[in-house]
Amino acid sequence: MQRSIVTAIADMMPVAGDCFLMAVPFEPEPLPGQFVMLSFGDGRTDPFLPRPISIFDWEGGMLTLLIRVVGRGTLLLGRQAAGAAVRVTGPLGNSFPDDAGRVCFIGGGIGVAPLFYAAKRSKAKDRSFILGFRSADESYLTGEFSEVAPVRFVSDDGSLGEKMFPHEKLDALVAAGERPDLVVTCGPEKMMAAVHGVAKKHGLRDVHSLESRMGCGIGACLGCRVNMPGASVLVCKEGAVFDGSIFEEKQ
Amino acid sequence: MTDLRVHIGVTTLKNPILTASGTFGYGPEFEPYLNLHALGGFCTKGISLEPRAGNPGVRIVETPSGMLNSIGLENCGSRVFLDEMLPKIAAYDTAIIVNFYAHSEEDFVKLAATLSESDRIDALEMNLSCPNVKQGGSVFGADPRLIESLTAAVRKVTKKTLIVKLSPNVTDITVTARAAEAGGADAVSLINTLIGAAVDRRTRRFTLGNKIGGLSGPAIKPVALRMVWQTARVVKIPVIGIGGIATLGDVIDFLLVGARAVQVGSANFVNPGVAQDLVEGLDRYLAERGETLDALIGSVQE
Repeated sequence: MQRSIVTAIADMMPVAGDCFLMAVPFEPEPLPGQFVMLSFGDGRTDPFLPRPISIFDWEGGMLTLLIRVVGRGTLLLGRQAAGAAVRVTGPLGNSFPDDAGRVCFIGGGIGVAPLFYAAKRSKAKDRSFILGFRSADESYLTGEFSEVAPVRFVSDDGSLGEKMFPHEKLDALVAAGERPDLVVTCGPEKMMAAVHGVAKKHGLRDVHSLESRMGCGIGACLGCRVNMPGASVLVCKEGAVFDGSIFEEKQ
Repeated sequence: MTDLRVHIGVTTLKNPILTASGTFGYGPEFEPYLNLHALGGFCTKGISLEPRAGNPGVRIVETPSGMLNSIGLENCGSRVFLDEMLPKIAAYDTAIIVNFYAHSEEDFVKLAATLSESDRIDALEMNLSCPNVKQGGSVFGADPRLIESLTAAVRKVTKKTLIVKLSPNVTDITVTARAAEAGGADAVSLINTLIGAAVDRRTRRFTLGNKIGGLSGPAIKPVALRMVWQTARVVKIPVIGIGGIATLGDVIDFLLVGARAVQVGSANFVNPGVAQDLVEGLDRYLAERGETLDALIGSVQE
């Protein structure tokens, strides 16, 4: 059951690349791929709206959010200290499917955020990451991801892992015989569409977590509807996880 | 428990806290967060005769203490609403107010007649003023003669409580309010959103796909409060206050200036349980003071 509560931040930790981790006590246990709506819990009306934030981790009643500063709202949230009140509504949206066989988690930039919990919770025999960042300087939590599953890093400038795009790495892995049963992605839309192209070429099952501006996260404001090539979707209610066919033009 | 009942037209609301159209979905979305039975009622997403897809592109943007939206009245259409949505909410022990919208008098009348056939619908709220639809909306919303004749035409086909929702994007809202009253409305609700715009300096484009949208949230409360006060002084029918209501203090302010009931809007996005908190808060407030709701309404010192 979803809930909306005001709670005190348990911990704040800056990480590289304009990102921070925020830990808040929250029940119930979310499913991988779900998200929460996060706002200030001290009664201020500016910033007004909650932000949709994916779930980086949840362990024993403690929710951890990995947040990148992209505007005034996230900047001010990042300046909050432990003990400050926040409102958390969730867990919201559908979830990533799982597979007993081989699952490849592909993330780009801040899109890596939901993949940590997804890989950690996955029951797949073989789990691995392909994580793409602009550069080594703008990468974060690489050690944490490596503790969950083997990681192939790629970067735009080659300063971290190989100089290539995540979809190219997936293509190379499949060519080398490492064929996933399921591909789970989150990142820039271009990256996810490119991964879908590779997945389709090889006949792989692929799912993607979309991002959209949201007002409420619960299907009431209808603000997050996006027209994807494959369908017009209300991201908060129908997603945020969608099948790769969403990137294909409707026939 | 204080007697919080209010009478609007032929409808008795168990309390004066309603939720505003477009901010409460069709109702079930809020089940996890509050007890819908606790509310005085809720206004559905605006329903049109046929389904509407709404506007493409960016639909919402945050502004200081508020937000702009250009959803464009996306809705399932009257048929799907009556056949599929209404049965899901029929059991709620609260007033169901159906907000409805059309492009022409003919369609307004047709829609009102269709909706009036359902016993479960308690009241109709006629939306004359959605800023996000190119045809019709603002024309109906600003012309008092049109408002009066349209209200009269709809009045003829419905015995339900008829509320006319007024646009603030007019020179004098008391003129349009009086026109609705003259046309036979049981109540007026105000204010709908104020038309606004936002630009993205980086891309040098309008932020919203529709360029302009409706401003809501705490930022508009002073404007709404002023308009509700002015209107409540000049009409005999109940005024329902809307505009930036987020706290118990906001509710009391609107009641003080003469609102008989209020609608909570974008605050539902921030805290989906806020409407029930406001009902409980108002009950406590009156009980602690030993005051009746009637004594509170319109009691601002002038």
